[in-house]
Amino acid sequence: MPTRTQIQEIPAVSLRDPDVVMKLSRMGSLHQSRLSFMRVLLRRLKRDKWKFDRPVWRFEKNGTGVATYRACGPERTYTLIAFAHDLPSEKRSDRVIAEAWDATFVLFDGEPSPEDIERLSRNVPLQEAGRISQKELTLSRANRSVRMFDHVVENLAAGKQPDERFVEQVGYLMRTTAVYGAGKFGAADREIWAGRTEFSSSFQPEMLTVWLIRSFTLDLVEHLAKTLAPGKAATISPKLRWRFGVGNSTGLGMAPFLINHPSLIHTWVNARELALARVRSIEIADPIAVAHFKQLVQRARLNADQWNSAHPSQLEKVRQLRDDLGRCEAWLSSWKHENTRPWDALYRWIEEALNEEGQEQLVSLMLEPHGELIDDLADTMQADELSCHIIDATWTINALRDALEKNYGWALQQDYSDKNATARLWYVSQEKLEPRLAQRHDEPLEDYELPLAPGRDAARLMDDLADLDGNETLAQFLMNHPEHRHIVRRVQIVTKYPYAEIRDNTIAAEMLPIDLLRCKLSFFGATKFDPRSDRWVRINMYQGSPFPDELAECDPDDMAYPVLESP
Amino acid sequence: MSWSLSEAASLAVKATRGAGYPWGLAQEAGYAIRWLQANGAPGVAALANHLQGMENSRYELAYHSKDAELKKSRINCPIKMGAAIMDRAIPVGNELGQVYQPVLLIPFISHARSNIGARIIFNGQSIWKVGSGISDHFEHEDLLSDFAEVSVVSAAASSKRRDSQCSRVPYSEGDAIAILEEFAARTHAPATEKSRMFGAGSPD
Repeated sequence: MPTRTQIQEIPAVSLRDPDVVMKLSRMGSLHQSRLSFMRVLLRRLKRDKWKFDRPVWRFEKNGTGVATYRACGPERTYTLIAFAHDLPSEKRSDRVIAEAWDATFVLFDGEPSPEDIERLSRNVPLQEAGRISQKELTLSRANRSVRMFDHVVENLAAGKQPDERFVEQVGYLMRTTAVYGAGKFGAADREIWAGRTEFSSSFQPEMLTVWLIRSFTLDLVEHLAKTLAPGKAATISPKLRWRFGVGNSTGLGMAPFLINHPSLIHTWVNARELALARVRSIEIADPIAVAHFKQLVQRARLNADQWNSAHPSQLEKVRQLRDDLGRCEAWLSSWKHENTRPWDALYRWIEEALNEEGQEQLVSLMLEPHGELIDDLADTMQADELSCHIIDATWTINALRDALEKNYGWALQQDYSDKNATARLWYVSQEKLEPRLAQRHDEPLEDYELPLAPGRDAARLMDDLADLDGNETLAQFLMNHPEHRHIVRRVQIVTKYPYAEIRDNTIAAEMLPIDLLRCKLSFFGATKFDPRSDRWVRINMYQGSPFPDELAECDPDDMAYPVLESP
Repeated sequence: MSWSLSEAASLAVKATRGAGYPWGLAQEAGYAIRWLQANGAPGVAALANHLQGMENSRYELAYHSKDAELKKSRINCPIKMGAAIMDRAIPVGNELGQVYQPVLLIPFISHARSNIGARIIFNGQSIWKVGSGISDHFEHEDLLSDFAEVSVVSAAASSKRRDSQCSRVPYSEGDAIAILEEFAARTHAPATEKSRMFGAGSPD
């Protein structure tokens, strides 16, 4: 029986060409949308009337202790267990591999017993050395943004609100350095929970973890302020609370994910592209949707105005975005949305007139007013990756050549004798145990290279197919050339799933790892990308979103962009 | 303490690569280890034995060969042979020759014979039935022979229920995990001065 991801749907307007969509510069221009995983989660929690509470709160005056946050759904309950520590400032680091953190977390499958909490208290803070079990779905850790955290505690203790501009500038009290799921550190394998309705789509346990962490960070500052000034301390005003998200610091460790999970990435991009095609195929626009869209363009412009970054390339992208949104607003005043297929006309203008940054922002905005039309696609954003493992060795050499020419033309055209085309090399360093990028021609690391250069490997494969009988099957070829086995597997996956491959050279001198990071993080639903170099980025998660006790009364989809000031 | 199946599979890929296999074959080792552990068979231990065996040059690796003499004189590598079986480059209706850590072949044979059923025979003893698991009078330790003469014979699909699925790699596999971790560490490059200059992370 075909899975939903395999169901072929042909909208009136075609999906965008993978050769256009899967370019690094475009992937590095993506924005969150209503198909992003944080938003999918909040919509579902609201729709299914999940209930939330905080059964355990045991804290010392110095802010160390444990808290639990319980999420009860129609069929199951999950509990975030948060451990707060007293971390000396010299040990605070954003690195994934570190020794200690301000806070550590697990998402427990069900309701933990006191024995479970005791067991986890001995393991979770240890991270690399600690082990969790099949009862836990995720493991995470976070550090304070010290300036923001101290500022908020001090002001609340003085009975005052934190400075609004400062809150807006930083946007969070804690930054997670990683959220691990799917079997890492002994957590439950994805297969254990993948079939549960509440986790349909991708990264849902991780997104639930971060959303509950957000509540914890605010509860903790209010608790500390109250401890410092009992009876006098203020609590954060509801309007200001929304401006706090959870920060995240992401580096090269995340970059290979998009290359290592081709069939999964296809489902993400395919859902977004299919959503866009559905909207472009609308024959007659709904005037309410048109008005909603026009307002969202203004709100997105406000969001772009609030977007801070110190990185020159990001500043230029934000400048382009502001410029693009301004031009779009002007164009919309003469948009003939009464004509047939007006959204398609809009998209065609966007494609013609704007930068990739503005194009992708507006694609996300075009999806916003069309939830009823596209929200079902969120359930297709998951893959059974094990089923893609088996190579079909009955293919002929000719079939493999055809597939390479069709889907890897961009790679076969490249001149790999040009040193710039192979300038980078991905490897894992012994020192940091994280993926790294080296300068291939300056550092002797080729023996350690990770298989993260599909373009070059496809070209090498094509070279070795040159003199073979095209009617032979792959079986003998693979026996003679085991060094091509990994790329043959990819070529077959991409034949089935056209958005599975980044159609760009991932080892070129000009490749920017932050493009890979932004693509993944935008699918998570992150905002305010703030690159700190070309290889790591800080972001904000859930800024503007409702808190658990507000979800029933709020529309979480209306909170993705700042609200316009009343005239 | 136990390990998740995805951890074990990912470690198997890295360890096999660390032992010198191409990435595509290392991925097959990951597939096999996950399959074996999920079916209650000692995949992690078999791979650890296999990689150590290679390391100590206790046997000569060879692709499956049609040459009868070669077939007699060489012991086959279960990962390379397994990949060839999965690719149908080697028919699995006959003698497969001597195979090191033959348990590692079971996932590949099971895939190739999933529709028609088969019994897998080590040194003349029927040890595994496709779709049913290990034969009644054997223990899982019996699967860990260093090498065996492997053959496959047809067998109708059994009405016996399938072995219960296992979702964890148990604590008892800790030593084997440690061996795989040592092999996996070989894929980690020493840091260079240049690499230290880049990368994420600094407090604010």
